[in-house]
Amino acid sequence: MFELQYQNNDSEKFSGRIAILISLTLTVLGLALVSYYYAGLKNSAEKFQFATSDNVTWTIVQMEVDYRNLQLALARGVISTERGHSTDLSEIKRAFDIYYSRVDAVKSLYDIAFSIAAADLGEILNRLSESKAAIAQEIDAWVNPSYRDLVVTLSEVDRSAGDIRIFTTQALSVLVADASAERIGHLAILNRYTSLLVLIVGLLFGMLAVPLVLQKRLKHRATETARIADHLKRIIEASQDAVVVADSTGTVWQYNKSAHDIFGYTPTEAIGAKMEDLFIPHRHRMAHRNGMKHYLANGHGNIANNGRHVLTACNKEGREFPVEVTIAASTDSINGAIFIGIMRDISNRIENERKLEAAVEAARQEALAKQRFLSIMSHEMRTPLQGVLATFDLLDDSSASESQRTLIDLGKRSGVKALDQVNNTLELARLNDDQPFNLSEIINPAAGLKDLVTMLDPLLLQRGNTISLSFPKNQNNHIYSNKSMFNAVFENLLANANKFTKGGHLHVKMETSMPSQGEIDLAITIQDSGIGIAKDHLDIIFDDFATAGAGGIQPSDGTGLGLGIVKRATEKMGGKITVASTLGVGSTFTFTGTFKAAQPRMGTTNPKSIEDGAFSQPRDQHSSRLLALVVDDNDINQILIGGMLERLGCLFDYAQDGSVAIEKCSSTAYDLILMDLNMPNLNGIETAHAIKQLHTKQGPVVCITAQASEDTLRTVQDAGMLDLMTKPIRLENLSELLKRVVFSKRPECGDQSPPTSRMIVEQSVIDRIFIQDLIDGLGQDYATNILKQFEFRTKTELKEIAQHLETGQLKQAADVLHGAAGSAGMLGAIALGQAFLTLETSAREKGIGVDDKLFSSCDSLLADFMLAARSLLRSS
Amino acid sequence: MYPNQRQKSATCAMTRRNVVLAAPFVLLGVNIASAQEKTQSAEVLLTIDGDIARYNHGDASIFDLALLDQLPQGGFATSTIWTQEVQVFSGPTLQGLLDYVGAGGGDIRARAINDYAISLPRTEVAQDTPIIATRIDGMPFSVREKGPLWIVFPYDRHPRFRSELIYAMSVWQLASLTISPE
Repeated sequence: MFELQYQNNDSEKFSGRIAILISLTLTVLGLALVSYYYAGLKNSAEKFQFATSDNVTWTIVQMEVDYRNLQLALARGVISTERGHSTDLSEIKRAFDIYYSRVDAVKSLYDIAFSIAAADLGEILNRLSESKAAIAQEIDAWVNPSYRDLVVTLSEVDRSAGDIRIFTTQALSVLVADASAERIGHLAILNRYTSLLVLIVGLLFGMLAVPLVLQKRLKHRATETARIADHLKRIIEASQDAVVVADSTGTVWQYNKSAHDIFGYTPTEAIGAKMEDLFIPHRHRMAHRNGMKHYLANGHGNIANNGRHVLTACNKEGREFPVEVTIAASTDSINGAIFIGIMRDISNRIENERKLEAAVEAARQEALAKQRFLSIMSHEMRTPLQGVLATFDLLDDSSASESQRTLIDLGKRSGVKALDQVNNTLELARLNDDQPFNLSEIINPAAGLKDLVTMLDPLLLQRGNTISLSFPKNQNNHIYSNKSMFNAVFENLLANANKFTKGGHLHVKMETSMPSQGEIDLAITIQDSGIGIAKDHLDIIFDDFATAGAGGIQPSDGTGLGLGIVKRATEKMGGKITVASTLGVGSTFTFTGTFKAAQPRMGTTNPKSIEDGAFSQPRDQHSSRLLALVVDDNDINQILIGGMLERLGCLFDYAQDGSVAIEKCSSTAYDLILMDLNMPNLNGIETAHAIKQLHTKQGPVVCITAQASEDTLRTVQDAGMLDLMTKPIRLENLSELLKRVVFSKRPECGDQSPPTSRMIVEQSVIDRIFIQDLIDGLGQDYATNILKQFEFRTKTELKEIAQHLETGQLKQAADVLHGAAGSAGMLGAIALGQAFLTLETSAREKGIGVDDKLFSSCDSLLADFMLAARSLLRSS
Repeated sequence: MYPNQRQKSATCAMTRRNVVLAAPFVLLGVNIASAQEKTQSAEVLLTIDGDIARYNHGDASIFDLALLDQLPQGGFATSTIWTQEVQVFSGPTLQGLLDYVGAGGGDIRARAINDYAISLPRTEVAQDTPIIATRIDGMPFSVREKGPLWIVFPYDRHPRFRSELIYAMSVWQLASLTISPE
């Protein structure tokens, strides 16, 4: 995430608040102090004003003056009375009164104005007061004072002279001192007041520093912001993607160079215009507007702040092209919501993706085509090869000469080799096909290996090799896998081991372990003492068509495909195949894998699945390339009929379903269609109808059914089918049908097997005649295999039916019963087939249920049938 | 010479405020009392000359207590720096006196018995202050008591009455007023 180094402003806020707090406190404090001092100052000023009043000084000074005036008045009176003149007493009395009032005034002033306790001054004043009072009494008592009276009074007044003088001078000096003290005190307060004011003013100036600092910080921040903005601007301009910023109304107000390059609009054209008018094709504009509205209303949306989106944009010319867009939504403090869109023209990318997809698809198609080609070709090649082999077989009779025999032998071997190759190719094609395959078949690896080894016996003998096996103690481990894959792997490995060894020894080892509950680790090694593989060939031997031979020693039947099949089949099973080898000493192939453990089901004898391979002992000579279609949902039936058809020299195709049949018929013209009547989904009648409608002209349709009655025949014929055949189908019946229906134009074809008298067969367990025919007609191996498969299948079906019956699913039980009945009928297990039919009918009818006793007898019926069949096989 | 000696009543049972309130009535009583005594003395207490309009003695206007009592009276209780306690001063307002004599607007020169003289700026003369006190606590007061006339301001009422100028203007033992021409 792109981080910006950016100082947050919390610390600034904090210091700002501190500053304000300090200034407020100081202001309050200052005001308090100022008012305190002011009060003090005022107080002091008033006192000052009062104490050093000129009036006080005047009054005190005046007291001496008034005293002297009194003395003067009295002296004049004395002189006047001494000369015998009449005296004006009013003058003396007035002077005295004035003096009297003055002394009183001074006394009052002294109490108020004199701060310093000038005690002696107080004493003087007291004396003066007393003297004054005494003289007052004398003067008040005068009626007609004589010269003598006046002299006495004067001398009494004179007595206060000293006091008056002392008082006046001392009082004045005290007053001066007081005044000065007051002045000093006042000055001190004034000083304090002034200094406080100065302090406050200083603080105020100091406070000025705060905004200055803040301003500086702001400036710094502004520069910082400008720098960051510049960086961003450069980044955006340098970006190869178009960067467009729009506001909440969709108006573009930022537009970088790449946007200009990609969309074609100049900045002047783009800025101020609406985003949708510039970049969004008409048909998308509504969606865009709705998206914006939704985001603005809800604060979140599908596209904004939600990763990359591929949208269609248009440029100035109106050309549309795909863009990959990321939209970041944010808020701007001034303008509200803003959208920052980063867009990239991905036309090239889209084009490349498309080309890539096309190329991949083409490659796939090619591979598929190749597969199909391989498959079809192999199919096509197989038939002639089979013919060739058949021919050689025919030639190989007692009338052939020695030299001819050699040639025949050579021919046969070549033919077989060719056929092998074709079959392997087919197998490979099948494995390469990504068709899903069933990995939940239950197989017993040990048993399977043993079977394969058994089959290898003749080949071992041929090469003069011996074989040994070692198995783990518990040979009864079963796993979930695929039987045909398993067989493909080990058949090929064993065949290879044998092929590349002469007169040597093969060793097959199987090991198992249980890593955890329900899992089995399997390790199977096939070791040989053959020619070995060169080191530099080890890598390529698993490749298709690679053959390795030491020097000039080419193994006689190298197909080259075997290991390819092994590898693919192994991988499909979920395993791994490795090889170790020393030239001249031998090779060891190791198969490993982990499989889910399975519980063995009853009767898991795994008959080798019937392959569409060569069969021995072709009896009849047919050269017709008749193509028949067998439509039957039961694959045992399919194989059986197919085998017979092949025996009779026909080519055939399967369709397990009515719809598949119709499909095949729409592209291919068949000479004959053998249709089972009872099929799920589309039954025989319906299918026949549908096929009749088709463009492609088909040959006759013959239906196969268990029930042959007049009604059935009529129904069948009404549906356009030619005839019907009853189960079980015998080779001679089929041959006859073919001759009658198809080969009527070719009189040379349609030879059939010699008729055998038909034994009257009562309702018995087995149709001996049919089985015998089967054995004679298709060969012992073929018959054995098909019977084995039938047995296995039927046993499985019985289990299924039992399950369904237990859980009360009668319909499902009935379906399975139907299939089982079909197979049994085809193979001539009469009693068993009948039992199945009965059970099916009763299961389908609601409310009746199934006869348990009958059902449980099916096991024994099957066993009886198999017993009889086997005895027939042995005796053949 | 003087009608009475003012007797300092040691028993100041009456509160000064009550005295102030009672002053007008007291004044009236005193007026009546002194009026009777006045018939005997009729002593000139105050002489006003200068820029005046009314004369009753040459080019001056003279006043005795009776005449002064007839003028518009004022009064208040206050302490002074020259006396001990709060007292009620009563007498004609200076302004009233000036109006009676039809004085011009100029300053007033006040002269005391001891020839103390001072010029009173006209601006300091308000309608009800100062008064020329003729009685203290309802009784006339002698020269010894700074009487018989004393220009008094209500010093306790407001700080502006406690200034140097006002103190200087508070002439006791007032003898005459001369109205200066403007």
